[in-house]
Amino acid sequence: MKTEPLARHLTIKRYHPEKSPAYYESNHSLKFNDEKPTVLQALIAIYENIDSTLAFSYNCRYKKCGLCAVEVDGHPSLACITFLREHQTIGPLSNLPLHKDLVINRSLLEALLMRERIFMTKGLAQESEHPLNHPFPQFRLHPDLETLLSCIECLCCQASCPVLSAGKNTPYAGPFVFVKLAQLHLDPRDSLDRASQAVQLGIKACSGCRQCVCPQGIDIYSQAILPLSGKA
Amino acid sequence: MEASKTFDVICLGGGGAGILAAVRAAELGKKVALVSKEPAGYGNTRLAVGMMACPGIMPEDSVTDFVDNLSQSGAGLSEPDLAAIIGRQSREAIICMEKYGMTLYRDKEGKLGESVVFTAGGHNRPRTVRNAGGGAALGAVLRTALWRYKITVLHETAALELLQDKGAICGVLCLDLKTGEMELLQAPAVIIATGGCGAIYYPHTSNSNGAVGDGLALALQAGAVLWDMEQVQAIPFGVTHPESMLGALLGESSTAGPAGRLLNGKGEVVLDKDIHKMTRAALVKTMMLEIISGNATDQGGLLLDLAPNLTLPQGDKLYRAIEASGIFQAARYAYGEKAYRWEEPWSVLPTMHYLMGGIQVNSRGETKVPGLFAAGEAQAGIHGGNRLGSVALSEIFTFGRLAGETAAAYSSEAGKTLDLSATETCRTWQKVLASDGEHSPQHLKKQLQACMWKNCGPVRQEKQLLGALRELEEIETKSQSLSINQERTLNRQLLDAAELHLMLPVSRSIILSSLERQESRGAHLRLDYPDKNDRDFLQHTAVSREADGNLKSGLQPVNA
Repeated sequence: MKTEPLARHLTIKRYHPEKSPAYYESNHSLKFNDEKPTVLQALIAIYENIDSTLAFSYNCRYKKCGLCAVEVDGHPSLACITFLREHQTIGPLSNLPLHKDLVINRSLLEALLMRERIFMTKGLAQESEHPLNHPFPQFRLHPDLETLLSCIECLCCQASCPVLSAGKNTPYAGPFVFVKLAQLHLDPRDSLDRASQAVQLGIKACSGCRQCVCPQGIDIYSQAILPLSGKA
Repeated sequence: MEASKTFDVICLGGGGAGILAAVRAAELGKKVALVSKEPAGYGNTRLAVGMMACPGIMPEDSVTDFVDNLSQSGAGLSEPDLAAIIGRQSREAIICMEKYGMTLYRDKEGKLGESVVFTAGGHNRPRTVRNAGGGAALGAVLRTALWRYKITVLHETAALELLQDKGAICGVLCLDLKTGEMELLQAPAVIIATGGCGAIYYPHTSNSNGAVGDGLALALQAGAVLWDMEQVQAIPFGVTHPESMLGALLGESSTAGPAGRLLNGKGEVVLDKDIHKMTRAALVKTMMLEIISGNATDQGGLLLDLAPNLTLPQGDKLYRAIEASGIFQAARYAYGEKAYRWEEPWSVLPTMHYLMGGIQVNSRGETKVPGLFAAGEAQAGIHGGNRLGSVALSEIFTFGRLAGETAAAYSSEAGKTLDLSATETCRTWQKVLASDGEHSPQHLKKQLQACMWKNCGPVRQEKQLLGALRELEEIETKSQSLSINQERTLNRQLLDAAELHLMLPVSRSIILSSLERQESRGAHLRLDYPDKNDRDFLQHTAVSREADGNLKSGLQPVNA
């Protein structure tokens, strides 16, 4: 049953702050026993056996954690569930500060969410002593909210946003931040004016091109941008 | 190395237990640091399906009923005090999570009523609720809880060793993976919330790759006792391929449905009915025996044929019910849409899922070591030999808060931080991490993981366990001579080297406990001692470190 190992050639876009501020590429040829190896499998194989300095992130290996997102031939993808084809190029997510190689620095976005108070400041439970048993008729889980809550924070949407890529000086937080704002906007427990916040964070600059990539299938334009703009 | 930073309480671990412990201590006015190898809000909590048991939520349920249920399922190793705490306090912990922004599924009236409260695996009645978005949504909410208080988060930072002054905790030596630099944190109270150790068996685990049990090694080194380390629960159905998805969670017994069939590599039927009624341990044993006897498929597992369920009158409804739990998403990524719709059989192999054993603590979350606390999966004694479905989240929220509270009170009493002299410890670790020796840490780590899966995995016998001890010694020797590349920023080899050193004593503890328990109980399945022996072994196995540095195992009574 065992067939010949499968050969794959790939290129990795590298960035190494200790060595040089410029990007460089490394080329690798790998052999797999699997018929359909994943991009993550290739990265692990390179780290283990070829170049132990390769930096990349992963955690769960099956689309739960959102840590392994990279660009495969320029398309933001989760390395764990993307099958590797011949002669592909793997690079870091665009539009985000880079730490090293394929690892992006998430801390600036986190700091923005914290600074702008993009989280539940007042929750359901504070309003009643026994909230779990008490009915909350106003609490309706909006179907769009259910979808928005499936966000695994992989940041593929930021990487694929042409407005962020264009890099104009206007303040524009990007689709990920609008997803986070929309989660709160659609939640009846939230008490802040998230629509106004969205305006301050540049939502009007969204061109509506719908090119934002979401591995979880969130339709970011319809489910986040439009509701926040009062158009849903 | 930077000068040390001083805190009242340090939490190790950035999942549910660690974050709720940190937040609780901060709520009580303490200066708190959280140390996590990943960004905060990751770890195994992020991989959770999002189901949590909430005792007493339905009128016919009661706390006593739940506690009885939990104790009975624990195969006699569940500590009554700890079971009672989770029974009484998990409701409050879930309310607390809702306050931070967790979204529970509620019925049309906004209540947690019959239509949204269900019976999870092993429970005697409905008491389990579910959050929208599962683990990733929980992770996001937990992270924002940290933002409500001024908690210092040291992310991408690994804890290497606890520092003590005359036995009492006075700090933690850490490795900042972002810079490759060591960092000293000073505090009179440290909470270990680093989770379980499924990744000791990587890739044969449903756990996050960082769940190597490093916090257990720290506690052991500092003088704490590890209980029931042989109780590592395997879940019956994990992915076999592609290689990078090996071990990913596909389901438990109930996922098989009433008509699911299990076939071996020759196409013969291994089990043709009632798989869904089997305990996880019984099903895992049947599967492993079939595989050991040489009847595995080319992929090294068995085939689970779920198609017969679809021909049942309730087939569609059943599919939708099991699919809605989100438990078998991995089938889609690994095997494709047809397999996801149950039309094609799944290739399956048991995978290591949950550590019931861990650090021994009392009902306040205190270990034997002054200033050292533990919470969550890292702590022992709650589930005994078997964990009921959906109790893990309730547990980490409940005991995380409890440990945070106790540690906060302790740090007030402890007063001034003790003298910290870490020069020797730093030097030892510097030597380990800067070594220009022979062996790649990533290869030794893989060798250890393969050895543990092969010899101390879901089924065990003495000969293999003794073989594992010998191989462990060989790896220990090699680990003294590591070859690590010289880069500092995000160097995976530095983390692998640190993890390897901490995984060795944890692996040894699992093997020693497995040898000690010469019977089969709970998740511990000995082929050479297939029966339960209450006369000799209705006790915890206990591993501790002797004065000479060697690990010693023994037995300790339950409910002492």
